[in-house]
Amino acid sequence: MILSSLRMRVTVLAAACMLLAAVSAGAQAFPAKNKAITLIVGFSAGGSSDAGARILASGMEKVLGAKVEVLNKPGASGQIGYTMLSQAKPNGYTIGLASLPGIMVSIMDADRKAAYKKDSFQPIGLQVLDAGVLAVKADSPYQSIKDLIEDAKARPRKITVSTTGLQTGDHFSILQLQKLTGAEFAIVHFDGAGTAMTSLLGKKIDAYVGNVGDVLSQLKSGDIRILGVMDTQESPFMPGVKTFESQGISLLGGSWRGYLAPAGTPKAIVDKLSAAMKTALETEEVKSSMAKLGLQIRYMNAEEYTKIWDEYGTVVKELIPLSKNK
Amino acid sequence: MRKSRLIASSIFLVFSAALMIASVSMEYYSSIGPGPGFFPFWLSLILGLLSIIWIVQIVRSAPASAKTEGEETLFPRGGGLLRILSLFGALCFMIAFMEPLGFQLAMFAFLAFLLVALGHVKTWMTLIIAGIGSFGLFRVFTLLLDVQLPQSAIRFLAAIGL
Amino acid sequence: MGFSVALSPGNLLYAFLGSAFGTLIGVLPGIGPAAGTALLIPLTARLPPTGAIIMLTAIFYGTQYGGTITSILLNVPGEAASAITCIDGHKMALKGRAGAALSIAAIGSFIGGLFATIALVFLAGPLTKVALEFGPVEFFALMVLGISLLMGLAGKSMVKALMMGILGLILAMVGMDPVRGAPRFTFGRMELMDGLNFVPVIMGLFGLADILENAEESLSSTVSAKVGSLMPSKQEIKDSVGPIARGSVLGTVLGLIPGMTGSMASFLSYSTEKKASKHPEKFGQGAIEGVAGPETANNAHANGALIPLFTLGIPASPTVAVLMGAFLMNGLIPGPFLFREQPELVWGVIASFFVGNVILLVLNLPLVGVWVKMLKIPYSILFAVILAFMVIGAYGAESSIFDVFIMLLFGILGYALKKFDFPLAPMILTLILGPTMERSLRRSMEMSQGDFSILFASPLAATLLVISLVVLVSSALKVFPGTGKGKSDSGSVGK
Repeated sequence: MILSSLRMRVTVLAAACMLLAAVSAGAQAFPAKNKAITLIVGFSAGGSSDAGARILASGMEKVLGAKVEVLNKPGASGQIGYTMLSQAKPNGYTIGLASLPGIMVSIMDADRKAAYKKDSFQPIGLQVLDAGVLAVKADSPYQSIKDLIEDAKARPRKITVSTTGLQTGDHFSILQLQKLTGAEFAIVHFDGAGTAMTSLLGKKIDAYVGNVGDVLSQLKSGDIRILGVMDTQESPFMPGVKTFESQGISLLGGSWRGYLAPAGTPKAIVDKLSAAMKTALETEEVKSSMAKLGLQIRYMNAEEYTKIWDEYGTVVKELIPLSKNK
Repeated sequence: MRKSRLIASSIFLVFSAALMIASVSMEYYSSIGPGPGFFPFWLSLILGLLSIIWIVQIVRSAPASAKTEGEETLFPRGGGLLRILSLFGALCFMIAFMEPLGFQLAMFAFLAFLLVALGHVKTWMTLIIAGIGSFGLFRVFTLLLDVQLPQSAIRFLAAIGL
Repeated sequence: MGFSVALSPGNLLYAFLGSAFGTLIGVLPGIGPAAGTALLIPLTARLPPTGAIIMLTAIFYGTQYGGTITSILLNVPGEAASAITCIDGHKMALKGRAGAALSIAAIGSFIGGLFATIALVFLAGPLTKVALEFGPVEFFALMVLGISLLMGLAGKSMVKALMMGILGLILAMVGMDPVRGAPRFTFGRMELMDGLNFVPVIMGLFGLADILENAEESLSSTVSAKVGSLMPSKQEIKDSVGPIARGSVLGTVLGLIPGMTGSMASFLSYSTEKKASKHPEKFGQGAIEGVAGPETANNAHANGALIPLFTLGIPASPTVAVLMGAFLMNGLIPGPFLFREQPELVWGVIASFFVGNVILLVLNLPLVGVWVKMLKIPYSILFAVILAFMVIGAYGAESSIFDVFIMLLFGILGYALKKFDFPLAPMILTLILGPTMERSLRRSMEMSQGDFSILFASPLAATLLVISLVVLVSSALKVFPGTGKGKSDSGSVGK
């Protein structure tokens, strides 16, 4: 009796050991030779999301020694790509780009009928924080965020502020700003940074909210003034421009671009990918390519990135009803 | 002639009615001007009115011309219909099987069918064209141009490069 | 000073390579100008910045030449901006005038590109001010003006033209509502949330509908179009002068305004030409003006769209955004300061536009003969090749099988509409202008918080709206005295 139970225990232990060995061997062997990793990008080729992903893919290729192929599946603000990712095999050979808050919106907004949930994904790491900025034309009377907020409070819904699209990071930043300060703007949704910036320069709108990467040229030519960067630290691309935080408003906004694996991907593989990402982002080649595009590297590992997911998820959830009723 | 035009105009009328019903459930007007349902509603209403005008035109003008043109049909029958249906079928086949079979096999079958059944092209010519159009184009597009055409979802087919 | 840069052997080679690649991308299905340009960026990574930019810009405007070729020869548009060329260009091909159509398109493209580049050199400053006048309100007024040209596109029956126009507007509604984010007519399909993809729609309406119609008779005995003489006749050249001149101006101006697309330029040019023509009834039957105007306009647009990139640092279209990425990759931030900081590079690149357009003309005119030979392929084979081409074209743009389905659906619709003698031009016009019209109206409402008076507060917008009213009334006056005519027409329709 005792003997048999002992034997059984030994068997179980042996089996467990073998399983463990197999799992770690799996991670050791990842990525297998001549097996390519597919990186799903839910945006069309040539955009800034795609450009960043391609830079990282070529960097990770060198670190991992395996091919990393970018697969563009554009449509429905990334939702088509996210759906495909959530349904992929969780073996590490399919990963995908995720843009916050876009992916959260698709999950939380019932109208979008997403086929995936927040926990359909396993975050790998964050690559880029393209911080939001609030800009006005150079000859605008507003010198600081305070000026703008005060005027907006005095004349509610009269000051026009542009976004680069409905339910984008810019849109949520404005909603958050309204919530934090009690000011009310007339929010105007454009389709992309180009048309919105044209309207700002043509004085059709009063203020512009967009990402750092999209306003560098106009800032350089002196056509616009940036009232604040929505980050905890100054942007390396616009030294001397104050953050919102330093002006007393704790607002963190912009596009967060990171990478996800389908939920259930073994932790060892996720860690390996995450580490490869980190190494790639530290190489000179990747750094300089990204800097040229105005993409600020902000690496976070899987745990930190998961935290951002959870925090941002809560923010988005609160703001969704507002985003559809303004 | 007249009959098919009446059917077509009625389809338009039914279509616009359906659209109108669908657009009523969308928000018509909001605090900041027209809502999502504003344009769909008016557009489907106008389309409906235009369909009615067309029906009236057909009813009024037809008797004289209907006799002279007889009941010659607008749409083909027999061989013509069969050919159109084959084209339709072939495209449906592509839609259904391009992803499971992979571009190369599906396109080969698609081209071979079209060329033999509809084009009456000689077999050797068919094989050459279908081969170039499927296996050749796949390589050109995926390797040189980075346009992603589907590989077979069936594993052993994908393994041999199909 | 720029020409010494642009004409250096290396840069000449890059301009040539770019032009050739661009033409090729234009011809091939499944790869549009934006994706094509993005794809070739890595190729230029090792080149010096000037060379890389020269090559990529040449690819960009080169695509506009290539897109025409399949439109004219096969009735399958290679790019959205060349869709309208199908209507008259392919009819010309059927009459044995394919060579003439292609030559005129190449010449028009050349003049349009040249005109926009000259505008960039001499008038960039003042023109930029014009572009800045266009906010949402003015956009809306301009779209209304475009749509008011619709009645001019009518064939025999005004009712049918209007029905098609409205149908186009309804199709333009498909997708996420631009202000509330509510899905409209998407049938729960994610693929429809961004609206219908234009390329599969026009491929179905033109190319597939054509093949379905040809299938009524035996496909093995249908003859491909005649080849005929390659050179345009004197009359054709004479008829093209006006459209090319108007197309150059129209395309350049629209190119200046961020948010206006090349297809808008070509469609508005087509509508304008039909309205301006003394014999509008020839449109749709193979009128050279219907090729010359739009093809000039879309090239002038492509080159004109580079003006705001240089003067404002704003990418005016998705393809220019890709190009801007290429500038950035080379460590250059496009904008007015670039003229001061890197004058040699900027003027070199601008000079290369002249050079590139000349190369494209020299490259394309002799190629006309080669392309036209395609028509010697027996139709029994050609139809299958066209179908394969369309399947790849519909699928490739977004790697989506759903788009092949959309193409099939619109092929059947196009075939049925043809049977009942519905004109396609009004539907495509509104399908292109519709989304922008609705968005800019609702954007204007967001600005004024629901107050309609904003539409008339802008002098420019008010002027444009008044012009549209004049256009509408004048078209209506032309039509309504002939109401009786409309009726008798509908009796003889579709025989």
